[in-house]
Amino acid sequence: MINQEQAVVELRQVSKRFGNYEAIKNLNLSIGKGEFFSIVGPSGCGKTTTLKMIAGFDHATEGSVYLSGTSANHIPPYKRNVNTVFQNYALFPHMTVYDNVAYPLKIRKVPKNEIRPRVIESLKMVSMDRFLDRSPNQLSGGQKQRVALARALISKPEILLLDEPLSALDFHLRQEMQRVLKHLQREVDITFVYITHDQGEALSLSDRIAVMENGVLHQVGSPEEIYETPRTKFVAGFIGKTNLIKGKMEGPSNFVSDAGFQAMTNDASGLLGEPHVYISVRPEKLRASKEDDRYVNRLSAVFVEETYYGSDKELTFREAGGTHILMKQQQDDGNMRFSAGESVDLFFRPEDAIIVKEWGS
Amino acid sequence: MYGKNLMLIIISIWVLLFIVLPVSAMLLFSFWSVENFQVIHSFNIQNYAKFFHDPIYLSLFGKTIKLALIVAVLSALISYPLALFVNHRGGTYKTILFLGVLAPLWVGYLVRIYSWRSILGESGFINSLLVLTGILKQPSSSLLFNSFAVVITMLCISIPFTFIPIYSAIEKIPGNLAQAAADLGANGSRAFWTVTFPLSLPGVVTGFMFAFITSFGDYMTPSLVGGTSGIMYGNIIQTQFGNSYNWPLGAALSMIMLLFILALIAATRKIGNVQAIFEE
Repeated sequence: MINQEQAVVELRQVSKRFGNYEAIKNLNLSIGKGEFFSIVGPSGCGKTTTLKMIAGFDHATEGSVYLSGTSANHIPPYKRNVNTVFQNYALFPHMTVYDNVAYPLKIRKVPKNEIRPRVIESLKMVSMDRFLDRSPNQLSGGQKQRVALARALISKPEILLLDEPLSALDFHLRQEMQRVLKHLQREVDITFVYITHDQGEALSLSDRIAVMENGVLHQVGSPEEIYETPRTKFVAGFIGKTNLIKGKMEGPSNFVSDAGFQAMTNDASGLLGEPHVYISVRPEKLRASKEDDRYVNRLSAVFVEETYYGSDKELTFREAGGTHILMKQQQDDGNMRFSAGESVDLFFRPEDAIIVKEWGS
Repeated sequence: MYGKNLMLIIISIWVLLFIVLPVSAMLLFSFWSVENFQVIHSFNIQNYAKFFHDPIYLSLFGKTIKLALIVAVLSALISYPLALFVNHRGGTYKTILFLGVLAPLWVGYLVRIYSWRSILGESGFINSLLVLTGILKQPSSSLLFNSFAVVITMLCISIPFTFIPIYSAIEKIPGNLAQAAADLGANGSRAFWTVTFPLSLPGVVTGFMFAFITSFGDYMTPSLVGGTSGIMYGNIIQTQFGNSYNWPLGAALSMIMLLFILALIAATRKIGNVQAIFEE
């Protein structure tokens, strides 16, 4: 956990309403210095509103936003030491690449002779120093994004906000830009707050991830924590693929599904009193044969179909309660073939069975 | 392909019939002369020489430039904040406000001139109000039949034409650019002068030119509300084709005006091109 003094951004009991619509519900969040922090969730989950409140474009209806320990509720965007990389770049079309990147320095009245070397240095960081005199209209999407990054970083803000910066780029460019971002963040040592709906992007880039849904914060944690030990059904399903079966706990690690399927799980004593919970098992943790003695859980299911993905295959089954169960089969697992309707026993270890709640904290 | 060619033909015929032919006829006329109310078909440039030698024409030309400039500057100064306001603060009333500014266009050109004549006249609205409130003892005749009345009336005519291009230029500016400027440290006025204004400049130039050209060529307004002191270049052209019956001189004066305006358009074309900024 990040300690209070190091928090660069802190949201305390923040709520945001637009008319009757509650975009953010009682959000508490603390982001540490130099962190690569991602906020993920489907569209409408409140992640962009959260970003706007940090940037100063929107204000909390209730609660406070603290920047480096001081309340920022009444500080306008231009006085905040926070810069944003906008989703569609927002480069100034009437200025060259050079003038775009020099803009924050000119506005802040940096001495003229310092501007040029800093602009070039900043553009070098994103390998765009050969494009000084280009107009933004002459650049590709990826190039625009790099210039936007250079512009946002040149005045060395304390916090860089990135609003789905890669969503407009194609797959390969997106991967390349992910590497650029990760590399840059380590180099400049600035706190990055990254907004995305792409959970894969969040997992690979972030130090910590916050998962939001409908204005509610479900969970904050490292990518491993979020993926391996999701706390709610939503987090388990949104971050990576998973199999969820409804039921309840009959002991600290005894799960019974509504259809009567029993499983040993990791410790979930905290959820004993919940009226219903879900067992979550990742597709890659399931086996179609009992590999060793640790695979004590056996789930009887009926084979439905298989889907081929190149590096792996996904097999779909249906368990007794009617839920579809996905199992990931690596190519080198050997080719197990099932025919439709065939009964198959699936095995998994107790430590791979995570119990999650229906709702967030 | 067929439809495109057809359109091209129609447009060519249109341009030929309504622009090339009449302008050529004028050009031809401008090199002729008049004697005893008879047009003499012999080529000479005395009409053009007259414009440059007789101080009446040059000084009137200068005065007309001055009046049109005043109208265009005021028109832009009034339209810009108006366009900014309707755009940023209009909210759900945007369309109504927009149409409101354009409302004068729905009233006939002459009706608009005459209504200003009655507003500014001795028994008009303004005089009645001034007398009623005791500011004036007697209605003043100084409001009408001078350059002031011409400027006011022309403003009323030109503001909608200036407003439209400025409004659409401002509307085309992506909202997040001003936001980006604020984000990068620019306060409201810096953001406006470094981002919003330069990006709307093409609209301002276009609107300014609209106001300038329509005012420059206007002869109805000066003849109805301008009196003798409010006379403009358009009026002497009108006189040549009317009372003076000197079509060749009128044609030459028109050609000079046309060339002047074409030169202006050519000079401002580059900055007046709104689309060039936003398109690739």
